[in-house]
Amino acid sequence: MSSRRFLTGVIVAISGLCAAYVLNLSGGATTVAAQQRGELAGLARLSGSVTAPQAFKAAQVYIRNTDKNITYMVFTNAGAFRSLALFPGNYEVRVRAKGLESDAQKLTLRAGENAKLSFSMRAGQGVAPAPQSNVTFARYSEIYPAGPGLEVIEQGCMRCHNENFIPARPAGEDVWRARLGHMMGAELDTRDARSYTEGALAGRVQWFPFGKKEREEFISYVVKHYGPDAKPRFVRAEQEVPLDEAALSKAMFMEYYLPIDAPGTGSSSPEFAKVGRGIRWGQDVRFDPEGNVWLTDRGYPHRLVKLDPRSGKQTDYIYPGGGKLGNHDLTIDRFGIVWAPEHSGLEPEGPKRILGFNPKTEKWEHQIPGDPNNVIRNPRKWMQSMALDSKDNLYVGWIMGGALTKWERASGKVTVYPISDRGAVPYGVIADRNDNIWIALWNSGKLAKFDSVNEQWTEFAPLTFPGHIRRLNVDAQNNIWAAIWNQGRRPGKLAKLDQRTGRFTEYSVPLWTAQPYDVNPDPEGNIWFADSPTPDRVALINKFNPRNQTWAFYPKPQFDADTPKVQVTRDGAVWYSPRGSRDMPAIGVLYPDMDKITTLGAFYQYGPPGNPWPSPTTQTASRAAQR
Amino acid sequence: MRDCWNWATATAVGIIGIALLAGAGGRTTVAAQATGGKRSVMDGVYTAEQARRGREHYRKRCVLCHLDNGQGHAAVPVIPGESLEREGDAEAPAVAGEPFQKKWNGRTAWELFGTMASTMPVGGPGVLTPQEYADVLAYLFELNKFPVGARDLAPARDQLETITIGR
Repeated sequence: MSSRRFLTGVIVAISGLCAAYVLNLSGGATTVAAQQRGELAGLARLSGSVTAPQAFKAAQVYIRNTDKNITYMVFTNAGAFRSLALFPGNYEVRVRAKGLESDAQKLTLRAGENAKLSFSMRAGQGVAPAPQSNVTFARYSEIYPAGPGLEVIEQGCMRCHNENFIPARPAGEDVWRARLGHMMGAELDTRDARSYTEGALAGRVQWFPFGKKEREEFISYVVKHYGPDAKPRFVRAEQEVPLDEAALSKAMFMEYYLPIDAPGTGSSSPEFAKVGRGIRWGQDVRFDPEGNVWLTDRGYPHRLVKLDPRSGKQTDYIYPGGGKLGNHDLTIDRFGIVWAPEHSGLEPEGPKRILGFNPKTEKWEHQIPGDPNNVIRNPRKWMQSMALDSKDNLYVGWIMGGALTKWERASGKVTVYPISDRGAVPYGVIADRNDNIWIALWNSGKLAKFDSVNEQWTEFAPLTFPGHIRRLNVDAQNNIWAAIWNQGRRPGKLAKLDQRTGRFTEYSVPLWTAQPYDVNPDPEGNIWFADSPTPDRVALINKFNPRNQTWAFYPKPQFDADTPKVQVTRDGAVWYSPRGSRDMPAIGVLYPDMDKITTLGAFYQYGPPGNPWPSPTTQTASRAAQR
Repeated sequence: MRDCWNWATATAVGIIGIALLAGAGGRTTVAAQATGGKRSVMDGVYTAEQARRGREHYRKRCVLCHLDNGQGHAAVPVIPGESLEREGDAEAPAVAGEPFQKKWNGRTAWELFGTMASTMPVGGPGVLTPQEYADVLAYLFELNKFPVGARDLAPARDQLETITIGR
């Protein structure tokens, strides 16, 4: 045997071993994939075509499973559509586009079936809600003519209230002065603030044109243009949402509706029918280790909702105290405990607790006083958003109270840290890879960093400051992302803070009226964000690709339902709740590429609490040891 | 400690409020007896001057939520897409017009007075004196186009209980 033949034999042998190893590995993966295909094998498909007397783009096909109360929604591409992963059962299907709609068709789908339907649309209401008879639309420049006082509105009011808030509320001078007084905290010498917005413009507001002269100019302007004889008006969208029909045709939405309570029960019970508008009200979603989706229902009585997306089964758990002490966010730790602090509720001045629900026992096993030593002196103090560090310690922001509570898991110790920013209104709270706690400050549009080792605060002002920021998040590179809402003519933006350089970079959303709420990275590094709707512009879930700085826009099934929170799975599915829905509250999901669905279960890339890195890390311990 | 203080304060305010109302009622018992029998808001139970005073209180304490002419929150259009939180708006019912009159039809002025004094303004019920609440009530009657009369509406239970709301 020549040395060359021997060498060849060795190479072949090594290659064979490598191939066997790779096959073995992929065999394991194949097993999982096969199992997941098995999960999908019992589901059905529906495709078809849509015609209309006029051209249309990306018509929305609503496929409603009437047995399970789930709606799938897909988009047409050149008049064709397809969908998959449909639960067997009875369906009603209809198609809507801008100014066009079809009749509903009924069909029954069996497991594994691949059905086809054809639709004809005609002129109709389409996807947008019916207009209100007492409101008209006009261009921004018509509603906001130039003049003294406009600057106050654009730079002050519109930071939080969008461009529709003021012209929708025509009123006399008494009312406008009372509204101005509310923002100035005119009555706060005689009573406590009712919410974190009252008195937000009191004191020496340095960021806005808001002196006495400007306030009088504001009054003159609003009484002139939005006085008692004016009609309510909305600003007309002057830009179509840029839609990529080919990309949309790959996408599929699902909305699992929350069951409406029977008359006289739950939100319709005599106790709650009036206080909670008598409806259920989905807020935030999170995933547990088993692939279930959990939702906070802010209607009365407050509930945690557990959804198994693989079956559509929902289970409700009412909060302790009868479900009336306020709720908002939730988070899930790596042990599967669902954490949900108390917010305002029907006893806004009562003590508030951090609640922990154990799905295994189905009991609220933790009820931790959020401020046991009364560090926050406000009589009204409400908790909202949370984060978990690498040691599983829990941090909770006091949106009413301007502080951060830390619950140390090992010792059970509760410490409250007042936030350094004056009048702080902490909204979103997240933890980075180094166990710094980051908070979006709604009052100013700054980001606050709490160093949990040194117990020190650092504030960061984005380039667009002041701005309207509610939520923030962290990507796999430990960059901090925040969403800045549009303000007057200034578009909405995404802001990235590179922690290594301390440099902010901002990206303007190419949609003037963008109101980006939550931001969340996917495993590929794209940033997904919920975009609140305007009166004639659909609610969206959008994607930003930082690598090539491209944007993609996905109209949601419910035109006018805003979404506060998005969560992304390891497969890139984007979960949300259409919070603003008045009659179809739900838990929803967007599959940007339905062909990549391997399971309907919702799993974080690295498990709860949903960080884009494996957890737990040991960096805090390392840092502490180095000191 | 603070909770105890709040409880004690609330209790004291409540007792004082009840005493004020009771006292006012006692003073007007004779007047009520003099008028005798049941009355309706259509009989002219307040004066124009009292409604004017009430309007001043309304402008300071009520107009933010109940708006210029008592239309209440329902007069504000829903902005499609607006969060259910509706930051900046209070949930205020109409205090004038058909919805208000339908809601209170057949009930007494004392019930309305008591609701106002015990719950309004939000965040500070009881900040007005009983007479001031009665003045605001007179203004609401004016907003609802109930006729004026020759005598002020007194903050007296035995008098207000005799007045039925409705046309």
